[in-house]
Amino acid sequence: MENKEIFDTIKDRQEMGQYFDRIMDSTYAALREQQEQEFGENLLKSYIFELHNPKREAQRFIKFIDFLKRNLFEIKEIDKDLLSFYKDDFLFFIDAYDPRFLLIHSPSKATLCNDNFDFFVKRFPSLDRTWFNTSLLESLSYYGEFESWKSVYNSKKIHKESDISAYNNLEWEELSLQIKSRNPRQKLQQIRESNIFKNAFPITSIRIKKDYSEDAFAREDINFLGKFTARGNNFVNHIDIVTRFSKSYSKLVETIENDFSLHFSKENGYYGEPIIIEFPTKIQLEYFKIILKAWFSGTQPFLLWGLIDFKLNDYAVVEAIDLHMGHPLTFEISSDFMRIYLQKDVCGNLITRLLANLEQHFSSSVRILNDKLTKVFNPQIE
Amino acid sequence: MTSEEKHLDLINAFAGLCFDLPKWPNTLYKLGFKIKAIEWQFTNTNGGFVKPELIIVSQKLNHAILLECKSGTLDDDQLKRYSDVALDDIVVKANFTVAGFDVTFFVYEVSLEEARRKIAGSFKFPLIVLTGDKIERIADINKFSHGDVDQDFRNPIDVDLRYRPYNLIPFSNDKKSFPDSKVVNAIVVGLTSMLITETVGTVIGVLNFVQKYIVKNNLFDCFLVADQKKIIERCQGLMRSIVKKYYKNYLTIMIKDGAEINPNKYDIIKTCHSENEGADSLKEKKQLIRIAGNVIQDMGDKASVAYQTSLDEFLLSSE
Repeated sequence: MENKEIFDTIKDRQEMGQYFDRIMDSTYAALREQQEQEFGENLLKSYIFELHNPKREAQRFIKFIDFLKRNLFEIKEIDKDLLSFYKDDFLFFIDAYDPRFLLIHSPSKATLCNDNFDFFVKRFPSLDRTWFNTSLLESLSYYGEFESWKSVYNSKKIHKESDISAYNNLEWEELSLQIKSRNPRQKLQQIRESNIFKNAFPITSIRIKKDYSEDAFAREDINFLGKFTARGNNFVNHIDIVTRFSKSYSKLVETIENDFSLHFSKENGYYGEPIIIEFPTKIQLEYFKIILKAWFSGTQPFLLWGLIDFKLNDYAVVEAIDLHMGHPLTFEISSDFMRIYLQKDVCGNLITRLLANLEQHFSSSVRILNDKLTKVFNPQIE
Repeated sequence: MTSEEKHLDLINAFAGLCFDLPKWPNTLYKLGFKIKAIEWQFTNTNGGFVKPELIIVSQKLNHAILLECKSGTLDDDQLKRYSDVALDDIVVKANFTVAGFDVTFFVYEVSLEEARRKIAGSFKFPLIVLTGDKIERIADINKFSHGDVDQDFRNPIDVDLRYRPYNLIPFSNDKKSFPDSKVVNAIVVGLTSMLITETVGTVIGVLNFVQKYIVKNNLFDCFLVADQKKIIERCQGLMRSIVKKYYKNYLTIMIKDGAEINPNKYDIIKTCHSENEGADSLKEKKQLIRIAGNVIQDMGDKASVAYQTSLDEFLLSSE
């Protein structure tokens, strides 16, 4: 069936599930026969997006639907939380059961998904991707059998002027590594211990397999941008993994917002806790200014703009704005750490975005020092 | 860093002890102390004014500490006024229900000898000094009156000054510690943030603006009403001229009735066109950053120069 026909046909959640079952089953059969597919082609892909909406008001989601309408998407309400959208052979479904962490499913080509979702994030201010950093992906990998991982490091994406490889004592500006092994966790550990890739070794995606019964399983590729590519044989199992990750992520973002933003009240006094991210190697003085200017220039992927006050040669205070949501925040940055002061109502997603992108493009060994927060970044999962 | 800024920095170093910050001691946090007031003025038993930088209270210990930070010289008259503060002044006039209190002076090492000379033998205030690697109560002068507090200050507290917090208390109404150029920076960041976040037609009062973008973290409520008014008065003139000169295409200022008497009663209204909520046009964000750069160049803290390099590389413009 063509995507338009599917859009017209599906009338409830069960039909959507059955349709995805068929897609997964056929791709699974193809994969079993070793017919390698073009990346993402015909595979079911699910994404977790954050629609900044801490109070989970319906209005924010309605505004997003209005935005999609203005961009000429056909829209069909399947039930009160589930809608399907179609335009130019691009079909996707949004499950807004949690109106803050939206689940988006699409069987369309990966390129169509990437282009459209990039467009949504750039143009609709409250919508952001979810950002799964290395420790979060690694912790969540325990939810199934850890089959493989991928590491892609690219310093040039944010550090155009600066010689970040020199800062990190690296031989590489870019690194791409994919390991499939009987024991990928052990391999990961070995490579880390060898320190061969030093600070250029983030986890960019993982593959896990979870068996639900003798013949029902989910095999998922999960990347740091909150994308889940389903390779199992059953939608129910796929969605089990997606929702499990979504809940852990939701808890993380809400912990950042509730426990780490600073706020004064007459009853409770002044409470909260600035977040500290430590750099593994000191930024050399000659790079300090250049690196900070790159980070706060308003560019992707950090989307931070700020007024940098260099108080010392290796110390600066930055009055910044998260250009995605427009929220103000303050940074103190020295050559070996940054401290972030969040105000109440600031979106916690900006911290996950910052951390994940520091790992992917600056140093994979950056580390949050707040104990309470570290625990949420490393959830125990059953 | 100017010597004036050091005063606000000293306050922050002490404030840090009331939080559970990584890499900075949490001595007072562990004892249940929380910051309850900033620059809260009240009168002592003899009717003399005192205005400690911070008042911190521990409900657990039923105890308050009044903090006076000194980056320069100690004023004899001020010392006398603090010595005349009694418990009922704290409870009845400052409105903090506690069973005991201390006034403590917190100084940099350079001021230590003068502080020691003036306090020792004459006053009962514990004296704390911030050195290159320690926060230390001067042992041979006075103790804290509460045993638990004194116990935790009995030995010098190791600190790594590289990790000292500077922005827990982000604003001081003291012009020297927080000059107008910094107010301009805060206004520009605030206006940019507001223009991105808010929808067309949004009305924001100056009071709300100052609370959210300049004093921050709801700390405005920490100040006495009279000081709140002074803060508003200080910020609003700058804000008005900035909005009128640089943001006339985006914002309108509406003066309410009675503004002549109570000048905080004017509103800023977002008037620029935007497709839906906030500045969702990337082009618009770029323009806002350009304007912010112009304001800072003309009026703000010249140290803040990030915008100069940012515009050339502004990838957001890839519409």
